[in-house]
Amino acid sequence: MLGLFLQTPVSMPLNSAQLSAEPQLDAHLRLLEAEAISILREARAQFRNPVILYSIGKDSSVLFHLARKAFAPGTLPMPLMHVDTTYKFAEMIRFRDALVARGGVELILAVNEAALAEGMNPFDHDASTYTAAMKTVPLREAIDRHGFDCAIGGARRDEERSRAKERVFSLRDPGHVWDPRHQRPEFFGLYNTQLAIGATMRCFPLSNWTEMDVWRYIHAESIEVVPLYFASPRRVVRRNGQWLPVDDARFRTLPGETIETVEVRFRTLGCYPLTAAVESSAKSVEDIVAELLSTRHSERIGRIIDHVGSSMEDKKREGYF
Amino acid sequence: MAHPGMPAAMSEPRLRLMTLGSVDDGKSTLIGRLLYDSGAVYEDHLVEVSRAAGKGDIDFSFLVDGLKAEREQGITIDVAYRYFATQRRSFLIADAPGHEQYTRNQAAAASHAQLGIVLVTATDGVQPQTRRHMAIAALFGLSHVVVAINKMDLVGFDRAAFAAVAEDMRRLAAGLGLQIVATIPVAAKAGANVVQRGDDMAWYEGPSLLGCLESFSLPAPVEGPAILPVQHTLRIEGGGRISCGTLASGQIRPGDPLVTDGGQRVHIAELWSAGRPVECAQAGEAIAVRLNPERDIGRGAVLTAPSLQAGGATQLRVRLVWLVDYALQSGRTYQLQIGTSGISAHVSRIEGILDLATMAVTPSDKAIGVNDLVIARFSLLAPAPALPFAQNRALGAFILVDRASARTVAAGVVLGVERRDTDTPWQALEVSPERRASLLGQKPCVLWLTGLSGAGKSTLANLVDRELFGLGRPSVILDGDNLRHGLNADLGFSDADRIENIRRVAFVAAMMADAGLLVIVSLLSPFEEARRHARQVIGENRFIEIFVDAPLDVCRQRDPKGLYARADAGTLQRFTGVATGYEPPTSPDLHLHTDQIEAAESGRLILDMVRRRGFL
Repeated sequence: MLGLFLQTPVSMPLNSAQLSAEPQLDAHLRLLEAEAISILREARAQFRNPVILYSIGKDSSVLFHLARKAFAPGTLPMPLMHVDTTYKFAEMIRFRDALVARGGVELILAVNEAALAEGMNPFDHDASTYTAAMKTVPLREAIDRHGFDCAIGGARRDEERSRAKERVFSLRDPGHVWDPRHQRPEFFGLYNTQLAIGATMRCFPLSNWTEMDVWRYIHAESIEVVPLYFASPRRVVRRNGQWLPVDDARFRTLPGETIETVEVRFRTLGCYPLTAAVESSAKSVEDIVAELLSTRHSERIGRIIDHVGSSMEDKKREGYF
Repeated sequence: MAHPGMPAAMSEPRLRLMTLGSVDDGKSTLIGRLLYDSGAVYEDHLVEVSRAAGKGDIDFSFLVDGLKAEREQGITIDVAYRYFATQRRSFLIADAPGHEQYTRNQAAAASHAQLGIVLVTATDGVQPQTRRHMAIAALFGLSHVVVAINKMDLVGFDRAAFAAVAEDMRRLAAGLGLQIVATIPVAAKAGANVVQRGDDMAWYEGPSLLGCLESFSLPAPVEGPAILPVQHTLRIEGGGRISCGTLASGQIRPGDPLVTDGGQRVHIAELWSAGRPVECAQAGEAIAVRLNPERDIGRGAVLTAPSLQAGGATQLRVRLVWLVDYALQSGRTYQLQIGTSGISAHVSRIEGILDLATMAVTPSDKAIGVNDLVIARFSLLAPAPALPFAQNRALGAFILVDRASARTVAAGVVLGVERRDTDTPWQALEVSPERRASLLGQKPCVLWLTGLSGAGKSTLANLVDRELFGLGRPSVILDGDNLRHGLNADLGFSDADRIENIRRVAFVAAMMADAGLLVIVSLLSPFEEARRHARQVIGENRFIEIFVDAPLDVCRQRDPKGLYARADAGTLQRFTGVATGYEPPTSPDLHLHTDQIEAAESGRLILDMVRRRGFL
């Protein structure tokens, strides 16, 4: 398994030589980078016990990279935490473990063992029940258990309509409830970081980044990402007009479904049974940028299920990131 | 990244836009239209919007109104941020709500925006909300606007109707100091002149709204002196401190001289930008500096070019928008966040409320309420860095936080600054406090006795004073009641007057200690914040807080001056313990339960501590 990982063509991890290299960023990315670093420093300076929520995806990779730059030449002054549903792609877990193995990071895992023991899984339960049990609940519990007062995540405003209204520093009431009607107004890049007893903060340094910005930054900074983002022949099943990946033996095919091998990639990464692939031939970061440029005007209908109603808003109110 | 097919615009910073206008003027529809017609809407979003709106129709506002409650009410209740790009330029658009109760969001959006899109309708013209939004935006730093006159279809695309509204807008903008970039007739629902030119308004020869946004050029940034508000200090393994922050003005290089806001001169030994060593950094970059000589400067300090003085502000004159539904009170103390510093600020005076119709400031007896724009003066409980907003945005913009509720209660800009050292210079004193103290052969300190009336402060003050006198130690009592007959005779018992009372006593106590005396302060001093300020004024190392504590019912029973009886009878207003609260010290240097031990024992405990601390 490890061998497969090493053979997969990925860009090199950030090292000190690259940190010293001349910046290759254009004015737009430099501005976004400076803003994100300033927010990360604010989170460190103003909170007692901040944590970076690390989900292994491209946004988390960018966030981790920025956090190291924000505190260079010092070391990263906060741990990472991964809410592991145990149904992530195997390649994601290998990527995560390789990152930890390189050293210099403390990674905390949050798993809802109780729900797993009761048989929670993404095949027998609908997506929202599963997400609440395996993501929202363990996140809330881990924040409480470790006494984190600020959880920093890679969510972006361009991802989803209710996220478009998120604050950079977003208050959660006791019980981790998001009340979008009583958010703190944010002026001039000044953030009120005071917390009432029992309240916690979520912090989003990539608020103003778009998907395109993320990929262009990954390219400019040579940031390593999970190879699942790049097109490759993968085992998939056609269901409801989407390509669902068959990542391990736990996948259940329905009557009439056959496993095919199709050249696909993933635009976002989550739990594999809930993450549809897109047909693509983008094998490098450059290819992905080109694909995004042409996708902007084309028909793309593959993610309808993520956008029905305002499910993200409801999940966020319950404490989802 | 130079990529074939990548619009050159993508490598330039986004133009930050905001919308202004009354709630029914169709802002969300206009933005939805702008997003849709410029191709920024993904197909799957569009399917969803069409489905929600019913067959065949697209409700463009649906693309923007994100939250459930808004869609149910058909209004925008919060600021939504949208991103879109054309071949020529990329944009960030903050869609701020129109209703008056969300004025604060307008101000927040304006504090980030570079260009405003003002929406008015040809049918209704300039509304009170239009005026209000434009005034607020101007006050929060916006300088340029595009005017879109919407619903031209409802006036038959009539040129005269357009011209009449355009003239009103021109006068309004001129009065507010806002520059109009273009005035455009629009029919947002049908999309006329939003992205494409409309066929029904051949008389209009200017650009479409999008064309105007694409070609707008930002005023060139002004070159200023280097200003670095310190945000965070890194402690490097093996020793050494590195100061981090975002360069707010100017540019710096290794070797450049800087001054701290405390007046210390330093040089930049090493410079990093976004984690990389660099030879030069510009305004806006997130930098880190190692200083030579190394100084213990932490968050809230400011490093500037030697030509600029930013530190030492003690009084600010400000313009603010009040954000919450309880009133701003003169005399209250709030947490002021300005630059990277957070300090206690006392609202020393409310000059008046800004009337948005006339832009005049009128003194007002009415309570300051939500959305009011106010001119006020703050006195800072410790000197802090600040500059007028017109000179520097980073050190001239602030928010005000109410510590009790943790809410952001106001945001605003600094109009004027008075500094401790320059505006009223210090007169040099030739005999130092140390020499005076050594002449008296003692080490001065201030014993600050706080507690409810009847807790035993005066009894203990006298007891300790007699002991010191007997030991041949020069001492003095500052008694709260006695001072109210003279120095503080002009003060009543409102929260503001109590704070002022404590402030004056603190300064007198500090002078007495400078004169070499052992000072015993006997003062109810009910507010934790004000006592903390007294500690700062007097000096941490010679301030001893003694909590003279007895339960309220014991104090009431003792009632040595008959004050509780009068308060209960209603002939004494605002009496602490009866009508207003007492904030007990959270960590006093000494806590005496006078209901449990004899006065003589309490007095002995005080003297023991004074000895232990080396003051006797």
